[in-house]
Amino acid sequence: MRLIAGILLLLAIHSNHGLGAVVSASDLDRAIKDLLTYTWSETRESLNPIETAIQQSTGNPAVRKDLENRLVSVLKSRAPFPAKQYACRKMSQIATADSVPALAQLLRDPALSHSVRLVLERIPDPSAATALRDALRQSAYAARLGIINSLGVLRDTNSVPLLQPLLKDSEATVVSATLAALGHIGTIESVEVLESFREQEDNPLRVAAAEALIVAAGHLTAEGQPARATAIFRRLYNPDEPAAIRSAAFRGLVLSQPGEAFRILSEALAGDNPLERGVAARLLLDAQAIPALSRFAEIDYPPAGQLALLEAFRSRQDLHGRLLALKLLQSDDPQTRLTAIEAMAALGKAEDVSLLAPLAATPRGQQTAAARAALANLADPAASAVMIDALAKSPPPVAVELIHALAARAAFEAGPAVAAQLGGSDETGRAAALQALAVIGTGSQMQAVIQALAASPGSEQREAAQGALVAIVRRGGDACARELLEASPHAQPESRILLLQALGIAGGPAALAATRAALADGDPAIRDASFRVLANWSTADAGPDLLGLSQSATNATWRTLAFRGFIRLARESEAPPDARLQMLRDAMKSARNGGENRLVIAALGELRHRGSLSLLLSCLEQPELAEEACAAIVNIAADPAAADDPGLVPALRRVLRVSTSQQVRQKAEAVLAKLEPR
Amino acid sequence: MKLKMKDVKTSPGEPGPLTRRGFLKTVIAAGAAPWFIPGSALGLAGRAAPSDRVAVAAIGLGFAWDMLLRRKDTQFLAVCDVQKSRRDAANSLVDRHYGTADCRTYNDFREVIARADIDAVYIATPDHWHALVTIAAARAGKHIYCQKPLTRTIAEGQAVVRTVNAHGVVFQHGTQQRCDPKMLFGCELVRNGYIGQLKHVKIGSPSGAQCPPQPSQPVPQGLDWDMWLGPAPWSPFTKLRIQAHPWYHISDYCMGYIAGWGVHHCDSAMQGSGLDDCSGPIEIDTRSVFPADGLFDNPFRWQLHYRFPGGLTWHWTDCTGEGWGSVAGSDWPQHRMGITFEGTEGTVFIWRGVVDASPKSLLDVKIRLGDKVRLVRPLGAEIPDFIQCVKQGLRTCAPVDIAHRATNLCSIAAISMLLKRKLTWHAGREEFIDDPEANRFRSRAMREPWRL
Repeated sequence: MRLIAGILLLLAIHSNHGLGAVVSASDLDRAIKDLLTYTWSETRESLNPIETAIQQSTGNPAVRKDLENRLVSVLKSRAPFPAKQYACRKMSQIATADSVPALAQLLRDPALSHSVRLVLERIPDPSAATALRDALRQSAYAARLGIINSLGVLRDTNSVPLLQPLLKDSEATVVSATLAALGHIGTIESVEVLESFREQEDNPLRVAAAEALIVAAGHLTAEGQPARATAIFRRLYNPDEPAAIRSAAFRGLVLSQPGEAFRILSEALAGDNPLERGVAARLLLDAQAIPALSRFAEIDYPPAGQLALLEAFRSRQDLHGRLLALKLLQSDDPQTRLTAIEAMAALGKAEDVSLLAPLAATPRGQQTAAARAALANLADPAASAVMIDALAKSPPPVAVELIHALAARAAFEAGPAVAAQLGGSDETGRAAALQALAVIGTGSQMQAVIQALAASPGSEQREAAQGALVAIVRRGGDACARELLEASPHAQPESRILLLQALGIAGGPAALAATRAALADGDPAIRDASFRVLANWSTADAGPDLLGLSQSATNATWRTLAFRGFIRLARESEAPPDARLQMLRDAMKSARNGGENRLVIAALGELRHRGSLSLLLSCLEQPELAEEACAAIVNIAADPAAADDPGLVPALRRVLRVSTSQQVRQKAEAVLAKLEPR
Repeated sequence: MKLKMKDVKTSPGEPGPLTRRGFLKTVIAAGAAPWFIPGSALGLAGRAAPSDRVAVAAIGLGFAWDMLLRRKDTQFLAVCDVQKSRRDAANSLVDRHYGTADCRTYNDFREVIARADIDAVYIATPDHWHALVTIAAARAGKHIYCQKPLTRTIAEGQAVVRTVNAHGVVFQHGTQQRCDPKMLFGCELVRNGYIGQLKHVKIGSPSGAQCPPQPSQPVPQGLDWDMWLGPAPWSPFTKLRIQAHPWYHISDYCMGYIAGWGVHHCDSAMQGSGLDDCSGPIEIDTRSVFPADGLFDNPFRWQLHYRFPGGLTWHWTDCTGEGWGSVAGSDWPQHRMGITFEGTEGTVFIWRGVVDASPKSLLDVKIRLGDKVRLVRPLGAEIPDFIQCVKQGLRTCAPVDIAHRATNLCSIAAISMLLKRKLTWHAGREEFIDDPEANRFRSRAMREPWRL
């Protein structure tokens, strides 16, 4: 029989790939033998075949049965506690009713009882509960608390008659465990026992019984006996019980009577009982527990109830709450008004803009902030259109609030209306419009912003206009260049510099040509600004200009910045890798000192282009460049894409001969270990 | 030049973060009874804490229990730990902080929970204790901050959710990434479709560890070893068992780093993927490496593949273990630490205090009204959020049901790794579909006298 099982085991294992080494019958024999003497502080490596065999035998009852039998044999042996505990852990995964008799024998062992219950609780067969009940019948039994607990976990209805007498036990821990088990069992019979116990006078475990009843009533509600559950909750909802019990009971009363939920919750919202109102408020937030809120909106609750209800509407974004919010907006109480304004963000309609905008424009601390936030957050998608319409008709303070709100809403469609405000006489309005255009402006509003830039005398407004211009150009890209170029010749020098900077952000061939031309401008400030724009150019088409300037510029700072700008382009531009490699080769030829050479080498290391290997190897001959070049070579070699390059291994060997950096050498060795055939 | 988030000017009406609301302040200000009634204000027992302070106790003086000590609106009344040296040190710290000698020390958490003058408890015990302490606290009407992961088993999590909800106490899970504005912004980008349709999520979280067999040692004086073990299987004392982080790697006390650390990223991935309410079938397939020997028995390397309803997939790897490639195989990728959401039109990466995106322009996005998902920004951090919610009866940023679902995603991975096979989990019914063997691992018998 054992031989057949062993063959079956091997077959099963071969059909389960990816589960580690094959476990043979002899491996398993050895593991079981070692298990018989296993203790905690020893190695457990020799036991691993047991676990592997279990994993590999999924879906093969014959093999599982063999494994189960082997583990049962350990339980029946004189093996020490750790060995039997180990066996139980494994059995908890595979044991069947066949193991119950052997396990039942060990339930009497106080040390092993827990391990045995671990298995019994997991065996899907009534015999497991029977074994537990049988063990519980033994008098004065040391492990009975655990057994009682397990009967509760299994919700063993047959154990109720057995548990009932234990409620008279002299040990409070036994009574308490029994109460909990009866609660988990959660049948009419167990509830009757619990209620009878709870009615006893001077009962020190009355609260524990109440808690068990709440658990039981939860089961009854879920399992189709809500009326019985309601009766339990009703009895527990009395002033003699602690608040935690009353709270749970009141909640249970609502959930066990869906048809009565509206009435109960309404009374809670209307009443002056904070516990009931608290439970009601929490339940109203839960759409699964209370699916519809609209009926509640029809009732005129006292303020505290209204606020709890409003929070539910807001939280659930249920628009039936709008009228309630509007009503509370008229409250004399500032906190209530504040709450209502906050709720309007979720519940308001577009037409409520006319109500909220004046509130936002009235300085009144938190209320102002709440109104601004509500305007910005108003969920109705038509709200932005209403704000745009209202902009021209509103007094300046209200218009400012609308402009801010439109920007906050990222309402790009409001660009023209907001730009129109730049022509207004109100300075605050103009400043707000520039701020807003930085967020929502497009190329269509560029002309207006450029005009504002030219007309802005104060540095603050000028800064706002510049911010708007830069933001618009960044969003619009080179499509904005034309308008900038047209504006540039007519601008004052200070504005020209800002326009040049904007051109740099816009990019594109026309902008590059204009920047190049500005290098020869008669104004030194313009020349310097255009050079700096060029040095920060983001596309590779500025490369030749920068490389040329790095050689020919008369200004030493320009030469340095131009060289660095060129290297940056080679590293960051979106040009193809081959083109970037060529740029770096050109840079290497043009480098004037070791510092610039090292910049190029570092960039080659980042580029990870295998074509750069020969260039880097040539640098190994130069002591001042060798270490940088070694690091770059290792970096290239570490790229899996370069792994098939035959030059890599010799290059890395050279790195190991040249480099004095421990870090570089370690990396080189690690890469070599992967590349070299073993 | 790229505009950075910090450079974006905000206008006064900026929608900005959604913050918690103050409606219950109104209830209090209007003279109605507040939901939060400090234990001392009820005249129940103990010292008279100022009525606007939340009276707290720390149970299990593990990670960051003293965060509550640094606040002006909390008052520590008790510290509880089964190691005398730890509770005495904590007690000294508390008394020094307040300049009093009022804080009490406890070995048994049940005595702390029995105190009527304590409003809230901070639970930082090892994981195998989380469920029992949380349930006991909820039954006593205490508000709860519980360190992550929520529980050691799925059944424990179910019992915790039932009990916390039944008693209506405020609960916060120690998954503080739900309070990180950068991570929330990243989640909003994903949830609102800025990277197109979300197709795949990559998660990297710290690897586990290995440890050779350890000798059994005498229980040190001042340690209640039986109480430390609590519901876990009995084993002899050895000093590494009680040390964080070694106990994280022992399956009797923790599911391993997959949950002990990984639940942070799992929770954030869940939030970013819009799976907080997922109730359908989830496929989970795993590859893992367990220590072949020694004290630790949780996996130290893993590759987890999840498939959610609708076709979204997650791939979660450990990411910090070095030198274990030969154990796991060189083909095992390690994702970068954090969560990378991959959509049809871009990617978003989040990690603590970090959000990155491709294209970079996504970082300039302002989440606005047209966006269907705008996540609530808690009050700066997890502890202020918790205290505010306790005072105002609000739902925290990491409530118990979310905590349970995030922990479940770790649990089903742990079970799949243990069984070394693919499983299908029904998130709504909380059971493995047609898989009695896997369903066995949803619960675990507790050592007596402990029970749920």
